[in-house]
Amino acid sequence: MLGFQDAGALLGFLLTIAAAVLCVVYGVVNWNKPTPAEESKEVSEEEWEK
Amino acid sequence: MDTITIAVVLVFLGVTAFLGWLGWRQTKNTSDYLLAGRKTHPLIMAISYGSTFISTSAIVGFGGAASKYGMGILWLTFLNILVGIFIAFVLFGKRTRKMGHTLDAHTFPELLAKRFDSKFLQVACGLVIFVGMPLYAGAVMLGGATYLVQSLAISKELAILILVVLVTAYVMFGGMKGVMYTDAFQGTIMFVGMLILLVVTYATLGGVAQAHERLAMLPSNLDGPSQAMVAGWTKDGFTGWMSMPAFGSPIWMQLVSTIVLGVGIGVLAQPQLIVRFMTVKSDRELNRGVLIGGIFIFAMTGVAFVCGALSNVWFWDLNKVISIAGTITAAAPKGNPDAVIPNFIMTALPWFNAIFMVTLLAAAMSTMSSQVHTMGSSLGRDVLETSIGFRAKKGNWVVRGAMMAGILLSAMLAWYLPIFFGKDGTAVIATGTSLFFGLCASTFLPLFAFGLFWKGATKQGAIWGFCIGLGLSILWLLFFYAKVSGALGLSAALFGVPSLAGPGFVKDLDPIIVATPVAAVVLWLVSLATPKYPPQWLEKVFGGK
Repeated sequence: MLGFQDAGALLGFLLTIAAAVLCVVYGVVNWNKPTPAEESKEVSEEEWEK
Repeated sequence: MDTITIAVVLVFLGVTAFLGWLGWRQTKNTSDYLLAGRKTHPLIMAISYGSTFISTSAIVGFGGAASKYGMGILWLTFLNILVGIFIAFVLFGKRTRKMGHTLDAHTFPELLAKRFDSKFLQVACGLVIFVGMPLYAGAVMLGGATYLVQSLAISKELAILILVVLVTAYVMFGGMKGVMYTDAFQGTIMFVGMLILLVVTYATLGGVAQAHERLAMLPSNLDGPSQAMVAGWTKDGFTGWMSMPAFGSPIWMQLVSTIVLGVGIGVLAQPQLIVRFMTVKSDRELNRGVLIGGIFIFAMTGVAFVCGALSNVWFWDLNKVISIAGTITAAAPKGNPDAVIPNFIMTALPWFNAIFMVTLLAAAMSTMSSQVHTMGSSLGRDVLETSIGFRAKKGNWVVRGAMMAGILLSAMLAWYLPIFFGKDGTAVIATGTSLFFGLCASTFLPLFAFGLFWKGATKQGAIWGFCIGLGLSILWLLFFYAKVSGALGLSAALFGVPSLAGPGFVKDLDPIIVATPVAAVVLWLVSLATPKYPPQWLEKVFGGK
């Protein structure tokens, strides 16, 4: 398939594409998480600046 | 060098200088200088992370290595994306950002020191980074210099000097803001340059399917010096460029244990990348960074490795030699993998030379800038300021002085590495990079991972894990790992053999495979046997969760 001569090299090629797709899907699904309200509460706790 | 090339390079350097100046203008305090004020835009953070991660080592060094190892090296791209982006951002990045903010840590050693309440760890980690990172920085510098030497017909010494002066100028004054702004600009150039390279390479070779078919058939068509070279590789396990090497063979061990695992796992413990997680305000920037970083790394290492392997077809069509056989010289009688990609660009795509030169300059400078910043903060803040209280009255001049020392050490190694390792056809840039990534994984990864995810990890456990990981790595490199112990000669001088591991596969095992699990087990066992931190203190460290 696609010129690959063994399963090991082909699997590396296919997993590379799968990993890139995983990153894109994760980024899209979580693009606006945490929400600005959740974020401001979390960040204000995270105090040393004072 | 023609007028167009000069113009392109000057515009590139002008924009880089402007962004370095912008960073300097916006740097008001130590937090700005070391962490860009902790409010970096997700696009800038993700591209800065990616362009720091991907250097000339990946493009020239590992791209050249792909001309020997073939498409099996794409396993490294898979790990670069899955571990280097997804796991690094989603699992490690969020915890690191939160703990870094909660504990007000400015550097990776400072984060470990505050997590484990141990100044020893801050000083020791700072020293390991300052002493070890020049090996990696030297390899990156060598990658940039190799291309400058070939395309500008200048000496290697002058090429290294040009890179040193350019990078030192904007890092010393621009701080982390200057580094990240220039990284984002340089990363964008790298992304566009590599996409053009991919499209043109496949188009030149007749499309994806035909290019792959021709590469698969190439071993059976060889004759002359290329056939002799491949016959030598075949004895070591080479089976073709479109398949993995024979399982357990020396080439398989080099590919899997040193290149794929050494760099693929080692990325999690890279100080100059970990500090990026502490430059953003919230987890939302990290979530967005996963998307941007995943695409960026796919376009960087994926393209470099595919083009490195496919360059064999192009060189065979041109003058009946495979890529590495075309790089044989008196100094490198078995060929020089580091020269393959520059050769390929200059002969196959001469019109692309100016764009690719700027792409490689961007790749070298974006990584070197972070390395210089990290070496400076490690020696300056983590060692000198922490251990002996040596501080400048203002202006971070201790860190800046340490940066100068770090970059000079790196330049010396860039000059010396090929003399030391290059005689037997070793991919010097890829090897130097892999060794540093492996050393970081063995020394830092167990305490970093346990420190983030296990409240039961104790100070004594962390110190023992650190010492065992570092000690076993060095011992393995000096006396067991044949590729390094043979070149260093200490094992031969003391015991009469290049490696104490004997003739079996153990001599090809990278230190990361041996030292990382041992250090992790030691850290776990010592932590179980030593006093735990009080619950109130852990609540402070873990932010109450």
